[in-house]
Amino acid sequence: MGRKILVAVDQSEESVHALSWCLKSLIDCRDTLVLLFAKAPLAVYSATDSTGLPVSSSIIATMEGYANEMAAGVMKKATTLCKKLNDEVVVETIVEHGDPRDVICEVAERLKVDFLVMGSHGYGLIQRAFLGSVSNHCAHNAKCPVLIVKMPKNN
Amino acid sequence: MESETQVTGKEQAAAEEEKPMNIMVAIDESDDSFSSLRWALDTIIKRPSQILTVVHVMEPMPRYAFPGGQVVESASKAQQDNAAKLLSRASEQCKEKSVNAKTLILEGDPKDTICSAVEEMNVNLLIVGSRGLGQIKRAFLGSVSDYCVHHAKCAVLVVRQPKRTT
Repeated sequence: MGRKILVAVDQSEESVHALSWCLKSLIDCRDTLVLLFAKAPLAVYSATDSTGLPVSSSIIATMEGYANEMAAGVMKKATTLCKKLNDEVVVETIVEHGDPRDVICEVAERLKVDFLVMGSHGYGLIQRAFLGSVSNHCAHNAKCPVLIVKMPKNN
Repeated sequence: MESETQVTGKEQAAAEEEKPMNIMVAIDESDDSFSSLRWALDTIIKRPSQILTVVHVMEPMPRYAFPGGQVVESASKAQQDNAAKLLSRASEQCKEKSVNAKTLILEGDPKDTICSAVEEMNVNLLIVGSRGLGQIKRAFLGSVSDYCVHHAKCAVLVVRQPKRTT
């Protein structure tokens, strides 16, 4: 009777730590891990760049390509980590577009996961913030249990 | 000469599974607490290496300060009895699921006390409910749970269960 666990991943070390903590401390081989990468939409809305020339579609395509590569890279690293730490657990991957805050909560609800796992900080590791904005949002708003894994501070 | 056997990933994982994991579940008088404990017993407590402690923090009611006198703040006998009853109920719940849990009564401001206990007792995972005593219907995070999510020095699991719509 395995559990279905959603793990939000991004490029941050915190997210890698959360995934590996989860695999080492909580997961057993009957569980299914769903790795979710939320791709924030590109903020390229202006029709012209700073020189006044129109932003060409090839630039947008390049940026999209870069974003896709990064998503694939993050997923590959995450799935490799899963295989290394527990090669029996079933791993699924999802890449969705949108604001991570909403995407994570929505996917968790849609997939009816047993619980959601995330790191405490993501992209912006502001030293004074105890909890990143995405983790804070999900802890408040997800409709399922949320596990926030913190990286030990090296003080 | 015998060659040394290689430690496979699975054996390594098995060796690491033996490492004890301290799990703390914080409860108060609310039903939310007890359903969170039930959820944790069903979904999280699965390995014999997990050591479960159920904790309840009594918040002492301040007594009157007499002029020139001291404010005596310590939990009343009624509070202590109540705490014991709560933990006994929690203990029963654990026994029903064949889980051997320790119980602990602490005194003080719940949010600080829980976070200190996490550090002192080397807790690896803290499990809290989402609402506690506040009965506001919308999904939100109670102040103690919110504080623990931000400040506890270990992984924190906020238990919130989807409401069944009738």
